[in-house]
Amino acid sequence: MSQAFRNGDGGRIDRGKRVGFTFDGQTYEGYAGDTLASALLANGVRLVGRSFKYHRPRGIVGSGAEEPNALIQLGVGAHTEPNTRATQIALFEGLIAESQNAWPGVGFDVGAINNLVSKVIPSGFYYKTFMWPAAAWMFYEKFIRSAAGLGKAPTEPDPETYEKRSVWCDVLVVGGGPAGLAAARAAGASGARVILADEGSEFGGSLLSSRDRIEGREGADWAGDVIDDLAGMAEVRVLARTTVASYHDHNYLVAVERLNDHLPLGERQGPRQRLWKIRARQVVLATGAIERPLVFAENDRPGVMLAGAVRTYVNRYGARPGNRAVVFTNNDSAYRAAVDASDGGIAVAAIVDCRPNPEGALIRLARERGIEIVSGSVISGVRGAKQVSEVEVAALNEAGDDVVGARRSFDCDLVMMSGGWNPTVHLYSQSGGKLAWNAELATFVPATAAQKSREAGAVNGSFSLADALAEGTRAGAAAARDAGFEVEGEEVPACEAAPGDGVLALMPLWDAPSGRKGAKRFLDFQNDVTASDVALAHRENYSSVEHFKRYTTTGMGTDQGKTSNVNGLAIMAGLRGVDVPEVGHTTFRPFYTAVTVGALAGINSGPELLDPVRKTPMHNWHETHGARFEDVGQWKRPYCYLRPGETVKQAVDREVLAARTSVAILDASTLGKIDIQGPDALELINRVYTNNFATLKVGQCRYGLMLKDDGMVFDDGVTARIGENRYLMSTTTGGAPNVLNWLEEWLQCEWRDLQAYCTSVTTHWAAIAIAGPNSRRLLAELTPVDLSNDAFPFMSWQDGEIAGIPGRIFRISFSGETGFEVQVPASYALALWRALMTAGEKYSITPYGTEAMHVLRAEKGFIIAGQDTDGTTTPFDLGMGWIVSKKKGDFLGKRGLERPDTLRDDRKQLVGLLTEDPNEVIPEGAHISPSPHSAKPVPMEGWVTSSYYSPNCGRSIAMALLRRGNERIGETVALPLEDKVVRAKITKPVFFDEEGERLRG
Amino acid sequence: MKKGSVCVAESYLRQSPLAQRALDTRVADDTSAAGLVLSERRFLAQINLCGRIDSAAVKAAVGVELPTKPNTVTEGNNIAALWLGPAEWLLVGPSDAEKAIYDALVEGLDGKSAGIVDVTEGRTVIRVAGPMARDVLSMGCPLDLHPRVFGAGRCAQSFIVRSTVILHQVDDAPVYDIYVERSQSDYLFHWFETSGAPYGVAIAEEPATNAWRRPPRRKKDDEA
Repeated sequence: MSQAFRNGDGGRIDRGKRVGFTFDGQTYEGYAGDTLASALLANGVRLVGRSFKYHRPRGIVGSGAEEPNALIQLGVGAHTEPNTRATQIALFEGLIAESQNAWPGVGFDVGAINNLVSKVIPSGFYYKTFMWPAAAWMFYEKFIRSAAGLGKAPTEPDPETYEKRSVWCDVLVVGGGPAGLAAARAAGASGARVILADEGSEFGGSLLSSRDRIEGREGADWAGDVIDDLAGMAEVRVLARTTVASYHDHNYLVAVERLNDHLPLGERQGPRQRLWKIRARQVVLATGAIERPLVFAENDRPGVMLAGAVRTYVNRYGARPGNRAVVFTNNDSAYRAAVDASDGGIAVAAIVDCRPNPEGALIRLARERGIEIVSGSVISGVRGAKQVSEVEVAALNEAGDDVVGARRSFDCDLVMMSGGWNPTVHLYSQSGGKLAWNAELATFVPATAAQKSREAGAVNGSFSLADALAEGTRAGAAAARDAGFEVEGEEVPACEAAPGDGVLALMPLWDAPSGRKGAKRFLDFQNDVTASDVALAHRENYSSVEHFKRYTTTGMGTDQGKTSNVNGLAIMAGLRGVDVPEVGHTTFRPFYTAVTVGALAGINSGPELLDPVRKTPMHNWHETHGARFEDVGQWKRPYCYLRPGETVKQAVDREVLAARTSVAILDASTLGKIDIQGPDALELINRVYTNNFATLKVGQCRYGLMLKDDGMVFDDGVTARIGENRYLMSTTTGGAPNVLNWLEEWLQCEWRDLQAYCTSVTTHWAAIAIAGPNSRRLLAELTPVDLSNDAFPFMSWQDGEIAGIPGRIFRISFSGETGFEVQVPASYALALWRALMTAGEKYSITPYGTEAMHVLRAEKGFIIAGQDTDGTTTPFDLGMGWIVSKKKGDFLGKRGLERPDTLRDDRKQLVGLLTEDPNEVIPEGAHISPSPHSAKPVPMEGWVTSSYYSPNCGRSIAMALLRRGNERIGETVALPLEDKVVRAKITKPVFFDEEGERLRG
Repeated sequence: MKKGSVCVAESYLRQSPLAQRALDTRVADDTSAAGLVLSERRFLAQINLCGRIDSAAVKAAVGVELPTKPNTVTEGNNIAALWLGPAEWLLVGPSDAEKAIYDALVEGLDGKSAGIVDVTEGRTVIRVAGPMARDVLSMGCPLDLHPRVFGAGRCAQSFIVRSTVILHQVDDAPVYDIYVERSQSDYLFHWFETSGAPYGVAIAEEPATNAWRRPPRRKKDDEA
């Protein structure tokens, strides 16, 4: 079968370029310019998929984004993409497509049994199993998940690349039909920055499917000329194959440009898709309209199509979706499709019109072609399993709610239906625009825009070409003007359209009677929702719009109900006996059509580009010396340095012991550092820390604790007085930006009178902590500074040269050992690190990572803000009441500490835990209960915040926040774990050198 | 540094934030075919200045007028002054000038309420040029960089992907200097190379800078 349904001429395909493709394993040929859908139809393929729930045979219904049935698994292997619409897939050589939701094949599908048992899985089936009983869902889920289907995601990583761009413009025009083209031309001529985007491969929209003429040319040629004009305007960007998928606040819209999807795999270069993040001063929505199906008995048979889609296939692609058609309509537009189909070689057996007496120019055109018009009638049945073979037509009774009289049959292989047109208001509605019901058109149209946007053409319900061109020109010009540009003249292009263009004269027919019980009348093809399902929802009182949608799943498929929603609302309105607007409509949500995750991610995926990776100046040294890294915020910090053959625990133990027995160094460059200057620097510091800094002399350092207003510990660190009015504050690694923001918030909003200036110097200074009994000896070799205890006491600092590098030496320690911290300009830090490693060789100097640092500080009971605190912990809870000044006037959090809740005596307090089994390391986060035999519900009295094996103590140690912990020292508690219960004794949270002799030594 | 402590480290000990990328070994002979041309401007002197600054005193001390118009850059005496906020500027000078510029500012603004901080080591500068420079920046930066909006002599604090940066458009070519925190510079450079890959990326030689000289000090009598 070689394109037996292709006309010899006509259409916008290139008959000189044959394109081979595969569908369901069968090879076919189409032409360049085809979509997969048009090529399949030209080849006589009618059955393209199975429906979601009943697995009924389905064929192509539409010709664009609205397509509910022809969902395609496109491509194979890593390139495969599910749920693509055959109607929007540009044909290319070697394209491989598979139908979906059918096993073993679309012709014979095991799941079709669901169609026979549909009575036991009625509408609301999923809804009810979700709701009750909860346990039943566990049982059903497996079955439902395997039967539920549609396409399959690829299992391999995506081999494609994607690009994202931000772009700003004065006027964004969405839609490249007559209205959009006119708008873009009018706006572009003003010199405004204009973007014109259209989802199709060719601009022209409806012009590509019609035979109308504009400015003396074929509409499609006119469109091409306008695009050429626009291409010549420097500030106009024309984006084909670009779907504007969402419309957010502040005229922010997101579009996806498909750069490569229309090309054979071998010809693709560069990114597959480009995501445009568009900020538009003004928006013109010229998004057109989507034809509405009619709801009638067996209207889902392959071969039942939208009338306008058939017109598109005939006019644009020279493809006949059938050879003998019956048209079923409630409005004039289908006559136009019938006339074009007839002229395109499809025998139109009859036009079945529910209106009793249709009249007008288009009707006359049909009559002139000898087409029989069966008025006041409906299609009451469709026969043909895998393709339409015959329809049955019956007259409506006077009330229009049932059929009467004898049935007539018409042989046909195609049914062209039209229930009217729905403006494509998706983006408009996403923008926050309000919709109004237009009774004449029987649909929702834009009413009140919420943002700087205008609508032009069919999206407004203006269906004639003349109106589209006029509205488009006006909207484009006005948008440019509102964006601040001068517009000269607003000439509306002259057009010659078919008589009766744009006239609908519609009579609503929401649910065509058939006189037959049990005949399925489909409303939502993709989700298999029938008119009876709506009735069931109504009977069970799921009649509000949000309930009805979820109960029946109307509009919840991948097509988001583009063809089904209004019909569903109207049927529900009829059942409730109210007008459609009273039922309302559900919210239109992004995206208009599905957007690949790859396009949203762009290149920001994988370990290197997902999120910024922050590295210290010594990073590469760490890397080449066995460092196992951990993420601390965005920083990469060495967790430990593995020697060949070592386990992580062995490495950590070795590093911890080295710090207590000889000398060890830590890359502490990630700690936050804030330079604070100004006459009020001291005042600022005194207000943000709990303790008093007024007594701190130049050359001294002091540890400080910072609280939020509620009295809860927020951050901690050492602050050094650098000069008369200058301090260097250090913060935790993760807390650095938060602390700076906190200081700035107070300075800029509350304490405007303070003259204090904060500047982050976190990455200006690199820092190395040197810990251990040999630290002084080592450092002394590299610096002329006198490091003796008298000359350089604990908690002081000095300027000095270290290994030939000017820097600062701080006598501070987080390990509880004799120690120093050396800070040098970051670009010299690696040199310093190397110098320390070389000079320290004789002491077996050991670089240590964050885990050893954690163990060392835990041995001493030093807290880590954010690990041993969680935003509900006060200094008193930590046993650090000594750091809360009673003399100071005020500080942030002072009043918070006086709240009744913070004064309770049964608060959780920091304690130490020693397990009965010294080798048992409790997992951090483990809950504490009073006894292993506590009755259910087991009381939760606290949790473990830090827990390690301490090689210096020769046993495990842990810190925990425990209710009334302070008064329970000596008690034993139970920690229920997944597979056992661990018992531990409560102690003070200090495990090593309680007197701090080493620290000051 | 305390005044009088004269210690200058040997320059071979110094390593730029992007040193591991060995850019000098990758410099292209001809960058004209590349869509994106990248280089690192290493060790530029950077002094952050904030507070109620007397602009005339700054001019007298270091030879550049501070910009008052938001997000603009003034240049003078081989220093670029970038407007960062209503009372915050970044003075950028040639490499190795940071101490001299800092000292001149401290002296010139003596006794004034100001924050003067040497932040030279905190950031590096990635110079971004080539015909695709603006497009590649738009892949990560949300700002409108169209010439009608953001031209030569403009600066802004913004993001490129998830990195905080300062952008400075140097000329109309356009050429941009992107100031990025040193810890994130490797990530951002990698991002530039990846984003620009479809359009061709070349590494250029580091642009030369002219030395900064302290303006002649006016005698007290002249001021009167």
